[in-house]
Amino acid sequence: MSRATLLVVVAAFLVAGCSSGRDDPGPPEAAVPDPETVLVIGSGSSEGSELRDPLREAWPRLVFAESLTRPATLVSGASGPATVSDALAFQLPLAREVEPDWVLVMLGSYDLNRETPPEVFGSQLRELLAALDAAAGGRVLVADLPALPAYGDAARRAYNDEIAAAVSEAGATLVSLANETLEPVDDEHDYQPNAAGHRVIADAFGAVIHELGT
Amino acid sequence: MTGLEPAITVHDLGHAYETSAGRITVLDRVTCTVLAGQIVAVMGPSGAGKSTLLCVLGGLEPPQSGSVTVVGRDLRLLSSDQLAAYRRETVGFVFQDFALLGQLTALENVELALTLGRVRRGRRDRAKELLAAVGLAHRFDHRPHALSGGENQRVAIARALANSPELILADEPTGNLDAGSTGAILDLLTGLPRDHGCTLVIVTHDPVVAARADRVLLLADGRIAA
Amino acid sequence: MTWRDAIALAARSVGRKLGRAVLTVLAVGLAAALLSSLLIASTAAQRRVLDQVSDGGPLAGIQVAPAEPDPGALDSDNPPRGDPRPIDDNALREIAALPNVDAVVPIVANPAIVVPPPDPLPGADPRRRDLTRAGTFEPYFDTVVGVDIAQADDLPIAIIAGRLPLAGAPEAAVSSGYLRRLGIDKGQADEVVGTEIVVGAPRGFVDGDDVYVRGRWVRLLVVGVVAQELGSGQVLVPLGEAQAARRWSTAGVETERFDIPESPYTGLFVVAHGLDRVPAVRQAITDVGYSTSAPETLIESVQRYLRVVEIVLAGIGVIALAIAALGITNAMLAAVRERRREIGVLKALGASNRDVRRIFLVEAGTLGFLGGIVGTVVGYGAAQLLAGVVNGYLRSQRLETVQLGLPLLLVVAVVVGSTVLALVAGTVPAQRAARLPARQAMGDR
Repeated sequence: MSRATLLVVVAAFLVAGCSSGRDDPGPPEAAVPDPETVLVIGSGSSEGSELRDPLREAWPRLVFAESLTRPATLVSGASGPATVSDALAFQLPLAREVEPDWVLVMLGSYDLNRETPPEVFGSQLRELLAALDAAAGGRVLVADLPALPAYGDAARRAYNDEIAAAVSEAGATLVSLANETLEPVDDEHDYQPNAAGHRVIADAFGAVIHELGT
Repeated sequence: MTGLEPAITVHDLGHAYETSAGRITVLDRVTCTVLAGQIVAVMGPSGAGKSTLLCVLGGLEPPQSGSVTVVGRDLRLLSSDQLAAYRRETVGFVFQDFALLGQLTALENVELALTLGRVRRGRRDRAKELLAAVGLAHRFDHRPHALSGGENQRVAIARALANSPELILADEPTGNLDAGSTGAILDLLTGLPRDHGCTLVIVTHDPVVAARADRVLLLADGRIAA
Repeated sequence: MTWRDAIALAARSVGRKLGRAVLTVLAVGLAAALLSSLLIASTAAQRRVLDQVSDGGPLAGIQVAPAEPDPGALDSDNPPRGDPRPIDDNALREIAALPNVDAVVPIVANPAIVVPPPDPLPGADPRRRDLTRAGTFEPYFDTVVGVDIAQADDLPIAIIAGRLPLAGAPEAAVSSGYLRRLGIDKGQADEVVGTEIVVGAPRGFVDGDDVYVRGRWVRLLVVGVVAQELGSGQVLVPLGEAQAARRWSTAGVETERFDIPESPYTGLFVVAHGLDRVPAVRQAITDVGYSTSAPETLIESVQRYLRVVEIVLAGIGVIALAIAALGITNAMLAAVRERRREIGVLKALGASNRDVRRIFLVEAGTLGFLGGIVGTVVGYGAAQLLAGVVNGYLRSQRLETVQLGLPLLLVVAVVVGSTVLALVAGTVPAQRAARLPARQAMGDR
């Protein structure tokens, strides 16, 4: 055994000696409310994968950090170029697993990109919202599509009409971004908003959450 | 005042020292007898063997040849410890330079002799008596450096008397004293046989001292000349 | 002459050459001071370690790994592990029921992505490199370690700042490794207390042909900074939180790829009833079928090491004392040379050789005794001074300070030791004095 190791161990002993020397009665069990759980259903753009600091700048992160009180749990199903049908297949099961208090949905950009007809998009969204409502029991908040240069304006309006209708039918809450114009994160990823855009989205979700009460 | 019994019997005493220059004979077949209570002055030139005779008589050195008997004790037969006992019980020494311990007071110097003499109780009182007897009742707590030469020699005499010796050996007791003190010390010393019943042997160069003795032994070249 | 008379006389003699006596006493005193301060310091250090070990605190802990024991593993503190073997509740109960087991604390570790607070903290080093492009602390992969906080007293966990998280609360304690990562000095550990971290448990999932990672994220309030040796993670959380994270992670695919442990408990920390029971308990756990590791030989090594340190320190002190003893011999020989006449006079007054030897021995012993007392007092002062410096450092590191005792045994040992040493040192001079011829009383004529 090297002398250095021994010294470290001696030091550790002294440290250990200090801790037990402190009169610290075992901490009591905390009286903690059940954590609020947030489930995010969306695509990679909701993850902010192209942002400089996605774990802090993406809108679900901002909502999680600012609009909820501790204890809080965030689970995000958002990934890759997810369409509504992808969400049905891969993200819906999460709702059954985590039993969220809040489900935040933001979909449509990749359906738009793939030119899914609005009525198809609309029917799939209705299916998803109905399933979420059945599974979660929590509040379902659905954002519509803000203006981004990559989105064709007419198509976006058609999608937003479908979203508004589906939300209304499902008894969910609409988070309206239709009148917001966002900047893309860069030319290559023109379907993803930049950090300022994420901030706008987060504030919109936050306002609704605040309105509904946590 | 002399008794009839011999206090000291010296027969054929010989003593020599080994030096780098060879063997030096200091005492050569000395024979003499001193009666109890006598005052004997030992005189002679330097190197005649006076001090060595005093050493042997006082048990500071065992006799090398011949025999020395002091109040019935044959000094040849005594071991080192027995010689020490002989010194403390039988002999009192008075030195030319007093040989007091500088760190001790007059009282303590006298007490030391009692301590070494195995006296267990009443040492302080006895020491005070002894000092008072030599006229130093007012000097108990003085150290040697604070006393005059004559006073120091009185302390030394008190110390020599501490264990009631039968033999007092004085080595030039007045050698370091002024004329004024000399007479007083001589009176004190020569009064000892009368007052304490002891025998006194004084080594001296001083004819005045010798004149006070009952008998004078003259040593020359290690032999008794007269 | 009695010893009492000899002591009285020696006291007078010591006082006569006061300068020399003071210097000799000081030499002995300094040597004794060195010896006693070293012994006081090393006793305090050792007591601190032994306190830990003897009453079966965290140091008597045995780590149980989710693996079968390797043959011959007991000979080693950290033996190689056998094949994996999950630790479940049954195993926990079985081990808790073993004799000489005081406590069994389950440990659950799970990989995690840690997101520190967004803004660099006030105490953080601004030159740190691992900030994100956005200028915030870089999130990183780590491990959360969960333990039953109620049993924290049995665990090798030391609080550096703040407190431990409350059981069931969304709280965490971070390690000093976390502070290093953030570029925060240990002395400013308070800076991170009260901040919030976000910790995510990973889960692998398949989407089409690809495997992605989904996180289950929690917000945790940092309530303390700790040193812990239970797992390699920088985040300590209540057991329930770690178990929830593990449940999330194990439900995914390709768990090995994400280092997600298969065993319900990633380890057990077993506290034996005293260090001497550790080998027996380890053997019993091996018989149950699990691999163990324990710092028992390490502790022994530490004890041996401390003993060696003590011996070396004592050796230095003894050398100093030996030098002081030579000083005594020298001073006494000089005294004998100077006092030949006095010794002769003492003999003329009837002192035997034994009396003279006794006087000089007592003189030497007096010097040693006084030196021992001076040494103990000065040594205690020096040790206090040293403790002041050490405690200043400990306080700056937020550690409990040391209290120095002045063990009566040590005082007695140093004083008696110095006296005995001085007596030994005085033997030759005393012998020489005793053998001086009585004729010296007549002077050098």
